[in-house]
Amino acid sequence: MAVTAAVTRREPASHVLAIRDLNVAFRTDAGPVRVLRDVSVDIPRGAIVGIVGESGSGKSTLALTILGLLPGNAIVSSGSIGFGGHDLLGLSLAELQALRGTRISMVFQDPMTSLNPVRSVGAQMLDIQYRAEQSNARKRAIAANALKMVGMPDAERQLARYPHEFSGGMRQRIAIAMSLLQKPELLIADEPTTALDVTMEAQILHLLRELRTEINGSILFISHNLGAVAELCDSVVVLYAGEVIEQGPVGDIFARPLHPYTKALLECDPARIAVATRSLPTIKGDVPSLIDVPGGCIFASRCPVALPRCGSEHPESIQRSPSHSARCHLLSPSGGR
Amino acid sequence: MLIYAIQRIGLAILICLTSMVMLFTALKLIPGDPATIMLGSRASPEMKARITEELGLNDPIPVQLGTFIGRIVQGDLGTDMWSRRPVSWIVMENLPYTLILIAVGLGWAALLGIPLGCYSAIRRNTFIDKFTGVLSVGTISIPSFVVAIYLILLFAIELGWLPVIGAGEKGDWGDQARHLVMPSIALGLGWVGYLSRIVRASMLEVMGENHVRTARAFGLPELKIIRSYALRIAILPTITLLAVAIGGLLSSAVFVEAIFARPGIGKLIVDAANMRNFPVVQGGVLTTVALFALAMPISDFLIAWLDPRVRSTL
Amino acid sequence: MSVPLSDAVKPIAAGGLALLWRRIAGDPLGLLGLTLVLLVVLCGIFAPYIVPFDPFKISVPAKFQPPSLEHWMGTDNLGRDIFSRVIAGSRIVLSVGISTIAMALVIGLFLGLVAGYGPRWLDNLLMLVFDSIYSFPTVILGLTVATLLGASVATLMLVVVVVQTPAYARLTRTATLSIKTSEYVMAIRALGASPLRIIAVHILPNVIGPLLIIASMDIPSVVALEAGLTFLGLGIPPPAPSWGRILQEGYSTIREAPWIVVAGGIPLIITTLGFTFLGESLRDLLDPRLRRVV
Repeated sequence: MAVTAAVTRREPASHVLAIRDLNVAFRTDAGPVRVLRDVSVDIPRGAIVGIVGESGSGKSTLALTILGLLPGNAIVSSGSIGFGGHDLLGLSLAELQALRGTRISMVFQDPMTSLNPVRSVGAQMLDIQYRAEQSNARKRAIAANALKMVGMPDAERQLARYPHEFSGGMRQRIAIAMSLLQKPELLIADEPTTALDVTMEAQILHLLRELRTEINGSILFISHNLGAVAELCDSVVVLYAGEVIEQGPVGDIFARPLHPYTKALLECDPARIAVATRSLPTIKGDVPSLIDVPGGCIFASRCPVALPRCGSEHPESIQRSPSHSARCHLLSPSGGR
Repeated sequence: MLIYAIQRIGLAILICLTSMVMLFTALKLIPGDPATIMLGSRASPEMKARITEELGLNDPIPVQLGTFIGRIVQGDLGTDMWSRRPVSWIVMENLPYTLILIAVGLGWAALLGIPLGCYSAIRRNTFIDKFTGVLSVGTISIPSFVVAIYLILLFAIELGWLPVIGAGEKGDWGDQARHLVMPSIALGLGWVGYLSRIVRASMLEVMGENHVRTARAFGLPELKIIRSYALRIAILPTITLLAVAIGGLLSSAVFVEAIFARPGIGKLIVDAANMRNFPVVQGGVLTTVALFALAMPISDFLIAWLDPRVRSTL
Repeated sequence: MSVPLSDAVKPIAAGGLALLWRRIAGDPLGLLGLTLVLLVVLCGIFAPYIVPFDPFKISVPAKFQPPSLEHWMGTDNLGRDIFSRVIAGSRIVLSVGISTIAMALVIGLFLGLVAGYGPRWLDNLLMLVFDSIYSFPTVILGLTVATLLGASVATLMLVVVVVQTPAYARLTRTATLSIKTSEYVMAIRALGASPLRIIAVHILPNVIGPLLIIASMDIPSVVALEAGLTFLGLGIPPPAPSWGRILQEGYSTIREAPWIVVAGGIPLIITTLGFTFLGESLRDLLDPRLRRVV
């Protein structure tokens, strides 16, 4: 298929992925739930971009939309996802399948259930390589190599074993190895460490950092763990209730956060508590309904420094520096007016 | 692994034992002379006296139970007073026919039912799914002997395509196959529906699981996902449910064999029951008990073979 | 105030009939099932008044007549009107079916309570016996009993009761065990409530609903069992016009009078289908989480 061939060719471009004005909603009995609204994210080549947000912010939906893995009741109403000169949203299933696992790979959150329990690790890794026209022996060698790359000892022997014979951390390594088998340009890691304990998490983060130099690809790292993002990522996108409310280089975001939400989020980090206190800091209030999205700034109801106009006018994204921007009226030249 | 095997077979043996004890108890509880019951109505007083002596029917109960079980375990199922032959021989002559019937009946039911169930799960709420669903419920509930009779009416009597009676000429595979068509359909019809329902339910569950999502994320072809990532797992509870329902299969086999006058354990029991020939009934019943008691361990072994997680725990 | 066993039981207890009707009315198959069931039940109740002929009247000259305006389903080998026999048969089906299930319910309820409340060894013993019966091929069990006792209505009913009881006993036992060990019951026991009171006030109300639903779903298999055993010659003896009997007589003369087996099979199909569709529709009340597989 001509388009499939074109889709698997690799072309140079400054950004590996360009998401523009993405709008995604889910059909429910109560009405459409607008989980992503006008989301725009750029992923430069060779960069690690972090997406940060609390549960329900839309981070996983964003990840699934890229590869077209949304459930049946999802509606992508507008926007584009540019990859390799194509808009992923406009591709057919066959074209998407050609991309999946080859040029774009994904690692999921729960390693205990993400792998096929009745197939050996090696068999699954060969399954993934089904499009390659090499011998099975060669594919096994590639698989063993990938396992070595993620630090699995005695890689050849492990190919014959089954997922349940490995610990959670090991399974996540296997999942990462699988995603790197065909040398993708973009690896989407959807909360890869959330289900792991702190030690394993540290190992996985370390692994990802090492791999970025090896594989020469980009990583989209999704997490609610600010510390992990700070450690690993080059730039950060902050997602709140389906909107990108701030994005910028990791240093800027953490040292000079622009948006009140980002500031509040950072303050909630127990590691930042300077003065002994009885209760942990939180952000008061709840995420608003995404079925009846309120007008104005999406954070207004919980914002400690909200202005009157925040309740009625939806803020534009305002650039503070070429790479750092936030959606907040407080940043506009007119300020509080 | 060995312990697992022993456990499963042990359970089967326990069920067999319980059935034997219940059979024995039933025999003792029946009003009337045990000798008459066991020998059937044709027995003469001398035979009755002799059997009473032989089988120690006047011994204390525990001793009787012990000998009863002891004999069965050694393969002695008693003697048929009508033909003077050991019951175990009679059973062995008939058992293969029943096994073939069950295998073929269940075989084609699986060949039809499992894909139907898969298809219904993948294309749920389409016309085929709903139609299959209604058909399944319908065929499951209609008694197999009614199906058998109607099949005969249509294919044997009205159309004359297929033979009715017996299992066919020995050694003539074609003839035997022709004689198998209607009986196996009558036996398997309800099972197509049953299988498709449980496969559908199982598949729906498995298709929603994370590893299927991962497989899709790697672009694996849908057919491969269905085969190796979904069905391979969905089939496991199906096997267990089949083993549990094996009793129903044997019951249906009784009717089918009786109606088609096919040799087999079912027909054996029915004919003997009609003649109050208890030893043969007992032999047939115990064989049936053994068969379905074995179904559980066999299915367990099958699952262990298919599911590496179970293998690891052994 | 009794301890709720599960959320599913509450709708049954509280104004259940209205909910039942709404559930069935919205489901075409359930409605069909209900219609068929009503047809059979009404036939059974009013059988003596609606039979066009005496089901037992033998009239040899009229034998083997194919279906006609006079004899809607024709006549059998003894000249009896088959349609009348079929209608009369529905009475047998109803009476045998309902009485045996009722008996099995009572016995099962009792034994389940005993197993749940009694000593552990008794529970284990009862469960072993029940599991053995439960998985035993029912027809073969029926044949065995019939061999020992001879064919009669009593034998048949005994067989059905034996076959059906384990399921009801199991359900009762499970409910008893879970309610007995719930914190609420522990508390009132500490306050001096007797086991009898606990059973009467807390266990029984919770168990009746699910039991009745399961029992209603068992009707097709009981009907089929009775018909099957009679067909094999080991159930209800002649001349009672059980549908199984009609099928048996019809089968032996299937070449000369094929209409007889058709007549005998149709009411069986109607009954089993009707109760099954109805039962499927009602089953959601037992476990609303289970979306109908059909």
